[in-house]
Amino acid sequence: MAANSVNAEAVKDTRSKRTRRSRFSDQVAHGVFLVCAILIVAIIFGIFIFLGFNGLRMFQDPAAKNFFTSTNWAPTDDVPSYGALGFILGSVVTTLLSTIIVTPLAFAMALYMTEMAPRWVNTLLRPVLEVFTGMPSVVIGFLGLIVLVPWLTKLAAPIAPSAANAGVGWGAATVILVIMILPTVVSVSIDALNAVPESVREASLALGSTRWQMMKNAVLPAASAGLATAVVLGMTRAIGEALAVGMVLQGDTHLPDGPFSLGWFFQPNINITNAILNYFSEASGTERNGYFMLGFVLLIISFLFICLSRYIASRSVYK
Amino acid sequence: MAQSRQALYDVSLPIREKQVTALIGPSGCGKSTFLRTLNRMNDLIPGTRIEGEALFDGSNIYAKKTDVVLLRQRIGMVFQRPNPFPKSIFENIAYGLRVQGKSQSFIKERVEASLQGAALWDEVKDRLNTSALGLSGGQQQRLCIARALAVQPEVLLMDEPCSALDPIATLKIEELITELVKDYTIVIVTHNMQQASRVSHFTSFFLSGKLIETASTVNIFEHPRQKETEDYISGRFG
Repeated sequence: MAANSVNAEAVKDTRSKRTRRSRFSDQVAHGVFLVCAILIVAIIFGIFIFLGFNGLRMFQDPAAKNFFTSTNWAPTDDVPSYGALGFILGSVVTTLLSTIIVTPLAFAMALYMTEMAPRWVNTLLRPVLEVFTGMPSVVIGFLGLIVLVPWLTKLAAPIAPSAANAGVGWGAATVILVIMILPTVVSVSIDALNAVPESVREASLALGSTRWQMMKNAVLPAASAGLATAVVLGMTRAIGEALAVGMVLQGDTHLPDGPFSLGWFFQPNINITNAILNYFSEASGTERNGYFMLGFVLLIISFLFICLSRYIASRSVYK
Repeated sequence: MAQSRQALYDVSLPIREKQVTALIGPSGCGKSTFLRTLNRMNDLIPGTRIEGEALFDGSNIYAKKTDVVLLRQRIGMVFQRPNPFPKSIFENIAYGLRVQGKSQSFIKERVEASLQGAALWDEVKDRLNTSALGLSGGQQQRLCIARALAVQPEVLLMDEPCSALDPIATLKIEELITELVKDYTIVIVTHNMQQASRVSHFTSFFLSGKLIETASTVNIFEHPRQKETEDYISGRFG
């Protein structure tokens, strides 16, 4: 009896020691994670404020008031002009166009891989897809320059305003973006389709639908939020891409001459990221702030895309 | 990875028209697998091999010329867990008709008739356009029954339709089954012997992939011929 109670005391003592120790390590871990979380938020806010502050300062210069309305970017002229609409147009057009091309392709590929392909195709294609997702953009830009551009030069010669440098421009940039974002969109779409429970497919087939009707009427609608997220993620990647796109754009600061036509896509052309990449390091004064402003615009667009994808994902039925 | 195991051995079982046939037996005895052979849902599991034939209206549903889509329109199915589509109540019921390309007026008519047939109309008639996922579990299962009824099948297969439901919802489904059997042939898998004795006319007892005994429900429960059947229904195992 007495021995027993001594024993029990000892057990109690080691137990409380152990809980005390684990409570301490809990607190340390909690503290470390909290600091990390605060740091990340602070850095993001810091970037926003830094870009926004430097960018918005350009509007102290009255010449910058046509930033969003003019396409004339001529900061070194006697009467400087800071119209950035051409850059913004370049980024928006190539992003939208590549998204329009990628979306049906990606959905078809994802449907094939989740609903039709035998297992061995999946085990083969999944890793390949992941390698493509992580492909360095300089490699893609390089391939674009030596493979895609010569091919486009031949193809576009009849419609481009000047045959000599037909091939580079928005057209090539769009193709590059398609190659860059397709694996990402396919990959996220596959996850979205896999998240649709098997019971939804069974329900559809048991009601006498064909496999195609099952995909179109049951699986795709059930995965719609996830698929939309995939597309928005692709757009976010496309609008921020600089290097690979810059390699095949080769424009300076102006849109091609003449009225808008199909030929525009096959002439040296411009976008936001390429402008920052090429001119920021040598700029000063209002022009320098202008590139900050372009970066800020890019950040805002990306941020809006992310908000959109969060909103769509929050309406998802299956997570 | 995929384990190969024979699930059913030499099962031969008549299903009578406009009667409820219950399939009972312990978990893993093959009763659900057998049920799914009747509308070829096992086709969906890659690597399934089936030998023998299943005759429906005199023709083998495993014959090469069988149109599986048409077959599943004639033999409807209700699953273990309610599985409504993430769509409105109306669109859930309309689904099977939409894939057949029926007219909107026909669909409207059938949606109301099917919901009434599944004893759900009064509870949902004012919110047909709200999501089916907002319904309770029991309502969702009756929605799934209504959805199956909408395509006007001849046979209704039910795979443990009450296993995810509470007793009150279960009672409603059982009442519904006794009502539906006036117009439909029903095959129901259940692990609940009381349920089998309450709703069915014929009962088949499965054990380890074999059909042990099949007889009228009264005979199975009161005068089982096989020892295994007696052991199972008297609760000695399972």
